[in-house]
Amino acid sequence: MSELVRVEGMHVVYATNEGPIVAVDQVDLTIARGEIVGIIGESGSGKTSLVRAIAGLLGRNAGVRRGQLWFDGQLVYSHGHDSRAKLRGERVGVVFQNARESLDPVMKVGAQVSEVLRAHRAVSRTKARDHVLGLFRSLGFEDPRRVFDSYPFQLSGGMCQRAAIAAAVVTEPDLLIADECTSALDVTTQAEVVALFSKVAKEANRTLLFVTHDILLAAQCCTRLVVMYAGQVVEDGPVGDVIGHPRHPYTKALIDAVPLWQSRRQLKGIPGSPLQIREGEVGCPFLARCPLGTDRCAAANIEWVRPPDSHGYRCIHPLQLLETVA
Amino acid sequence: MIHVLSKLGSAAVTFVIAVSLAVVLSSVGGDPVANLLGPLAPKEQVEAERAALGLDRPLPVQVISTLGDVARGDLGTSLRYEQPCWDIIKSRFPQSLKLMVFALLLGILVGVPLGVIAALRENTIVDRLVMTIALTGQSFPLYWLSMMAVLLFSLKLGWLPAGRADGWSHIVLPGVVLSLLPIGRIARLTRASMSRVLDEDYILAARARGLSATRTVGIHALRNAALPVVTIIGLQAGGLLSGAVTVEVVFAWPGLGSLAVDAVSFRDFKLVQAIVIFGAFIFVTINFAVDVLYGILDPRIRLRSA
Amino acid sequence: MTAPSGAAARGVERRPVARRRRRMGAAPFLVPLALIGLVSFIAPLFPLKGPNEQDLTAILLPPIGFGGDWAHPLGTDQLGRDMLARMIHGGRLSFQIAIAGVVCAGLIGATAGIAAGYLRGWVDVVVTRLIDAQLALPFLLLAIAIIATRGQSLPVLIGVLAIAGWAQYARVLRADSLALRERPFVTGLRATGMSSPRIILFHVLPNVAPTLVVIATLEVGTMIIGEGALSFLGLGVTAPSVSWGLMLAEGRNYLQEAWWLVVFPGVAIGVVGLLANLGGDALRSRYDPRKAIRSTS
Repeated sequence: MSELVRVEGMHVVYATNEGPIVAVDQVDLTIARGEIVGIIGESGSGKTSLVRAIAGLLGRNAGVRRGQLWFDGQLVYSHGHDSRAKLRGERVGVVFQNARESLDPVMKVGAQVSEVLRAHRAVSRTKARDHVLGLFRSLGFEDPRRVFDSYPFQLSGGMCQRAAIAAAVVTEPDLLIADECTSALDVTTQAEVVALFSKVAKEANRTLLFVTHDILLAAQCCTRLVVMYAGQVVEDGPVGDVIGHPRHPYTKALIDAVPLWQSRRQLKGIPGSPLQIREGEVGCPFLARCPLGTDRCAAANIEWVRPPDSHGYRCIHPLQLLETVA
Repeated sequence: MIHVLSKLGSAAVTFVIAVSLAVVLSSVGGDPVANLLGPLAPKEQVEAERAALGLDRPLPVQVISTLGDVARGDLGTSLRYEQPCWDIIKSRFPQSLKLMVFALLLGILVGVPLGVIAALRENTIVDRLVMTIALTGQSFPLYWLSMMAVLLFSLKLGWLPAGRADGWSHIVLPGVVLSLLPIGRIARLTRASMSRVLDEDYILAARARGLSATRTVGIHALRNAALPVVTIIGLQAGGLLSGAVTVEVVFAWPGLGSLAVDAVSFRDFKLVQAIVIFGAFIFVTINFAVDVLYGILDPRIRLRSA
Repeated sequence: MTAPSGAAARGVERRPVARRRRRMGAAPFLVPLALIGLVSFIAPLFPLKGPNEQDLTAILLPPIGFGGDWAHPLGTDQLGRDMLARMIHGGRLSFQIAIAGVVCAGLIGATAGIAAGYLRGWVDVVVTRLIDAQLALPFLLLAIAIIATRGQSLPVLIGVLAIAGWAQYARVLRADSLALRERPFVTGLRATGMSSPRIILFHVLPNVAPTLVVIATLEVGTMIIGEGALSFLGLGVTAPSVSWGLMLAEGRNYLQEAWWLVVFPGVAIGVVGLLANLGGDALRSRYDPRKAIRSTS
């Protein structure tokens, strides 16, 4: 599988009234074509900032201080060079959390999807319409024509979600980013949406970045999980390994925090709340909430460990391989 | 359709109350006839005149009578000109209308782009500059700005004429001065509205979909931001009517404003009252039209039946 | 719990970060405004020439820097009266009228608005209709109509300004009171059986007070301009009193040869209006940043 996205030393800092806050802390990440990667973390973990940095959607008060980004072998971002704008809508598609809000309320849905197509390809209005209708049908709309001529407020939440997905994939991008698309939904709809994203990705051998805080939900469709905390990647490996044998205490805590119907296991929340990191802070950011923390954890930045089984982690006392999820 | 009818009904009610309010406010406590005839007039004459004008009737009767007259298109008879007020108003209104339309158009053509620019460059020098200029135009009194315009552009520089109303060059100075008010308000509201819209998810999504900045701002942002601005246009009508009064006086523009001021110096309160009623009518009508327009422009209102 | 994706075209992440913003306080505007008012109020204490002292040997003298001297720093008018003295005394009267207008309009408007918003029912219907009707009547034309029938005097002038202004207070305070009414703490108070007047006086009023202050500040500017307009048209203040508006009316005939007769009072009104607007806006964004969306007046 060839490499699609390579992130090296990505460092994103936000300017705030209280001083600069590090959102993405020198992250290295490589995504291969066709991978379905779950990017997991609580709010403030930097997962959204990371994917937005890849798509070039960060704003003025976010400074990308350092870092390099390659897309499909081309350098698209580095110091003094930024060609991410060319990727947007063409090779990278993004779907946002609130689908209805991500659609222009005073324009018909079909027109909005068509305009994306026509912005990137030279097609006539009628051809675009036909193409979009076909796309709607393949996404599960029973009456594509009606949806095409509807305004967002006339559609249900689920239909808006499909429409938003349509807008993101109409140009057949190489990379699709689902940014917390399931967070505001109930469990049944979540499952539908996850299935839809999975289908959309697999059918076209499209690379999918599935951003969520729900690790087990991501496990349903992803082949690989990347866990982030306080702007750092703390664990990264095949989904079965990460869920079955988590190595970083945070990953285990995330898994433990999800209620499972079958087991009578107690719901365990994670004490404390996510940190906001400032520049120059040293040591493991998870220390304050970690049950295994020691003084050594605070002394220096924790290095990334990449064992031969591709299940990497950033911890000096990873959970033993004997530990399994109850 | 029902929607439109209910708005029409509402507008009519507002108009009726406005007329009643005008009659009450201008009648309670004062004695227009005494003012008219002067302090030396004999009492019988005052009484007779009062009766002739119907001012000796109780207030509610006066109100209802006036409303009835207005419904029939009768705005009373001018005391000074001894002609129906409506005829006089009809002859002078087009001039005021020209001025107001000019000012409103300028307000939109200049105010909206200014607001958009300020919103796109929020919190920068450009933003503060534009908004300060807009606010200054709103804060400095029109009557003074008119005089300054006359002084500078007409008397000192001789670029543009002032006084009278023939020819297109004559409308420029008073029109531009009057437009400062709507320019200011429209620019400020556009900026606020645009700023709010630019923070919305669908704008970020448009950017994510690779739509050009022109399209994102010019179509998606602007169409959504323009909606609240449309409603403001109705309210501008009222402000322009008031603003036109002093501007017309300074520029000797033969419209309704200068007519009203003229009428006051002759104590022709009938004519003034007629102009007020007419002004209220214009305001209510324009607001109704704007309301209906808004309902058409916003699909969320247009298509939601229940 | 999760970060909403409400980010901007300008790409600002809402959480966890606040946008860097320089919030200007209201003080830079309100302090000068208050100073201007104060100076004009204590005017009689200054060793100035009287505003009506005529000196026909010194008519139409230009101000300092344009050929005049320190005897009359702002020049003189067509009757030789000192412009500086007239400006200060004129400011005094203009401010007095404006503040009287603000107070009267505020009392009427606040009462109507709060009653309508809190009590709802027929009170609300009546008040709302009255507000709409009032806003439909163009201020200056209505003022002219009232003065045409009532004659010209100071009470009439203040009354006219109050009539023009109350609707602004009523409209906004009604909305505020309406929203306040639905807040849990008010519902709780009602449940304890507290009478409406008490709730309004001790709970609603203190909560809407900031908004009231904001509107009052903005209205000071409106009132000064309004008084200026009426006096300019000859319908407001009359000689021998002096106000800025009246000075404009009197100076108008000498516009070409003596610009200072018109420029000083006009700039004064404009500056006061500007300070009032900027101060009111700054106050408004401090008390409720979300409301900063609504434009003034």
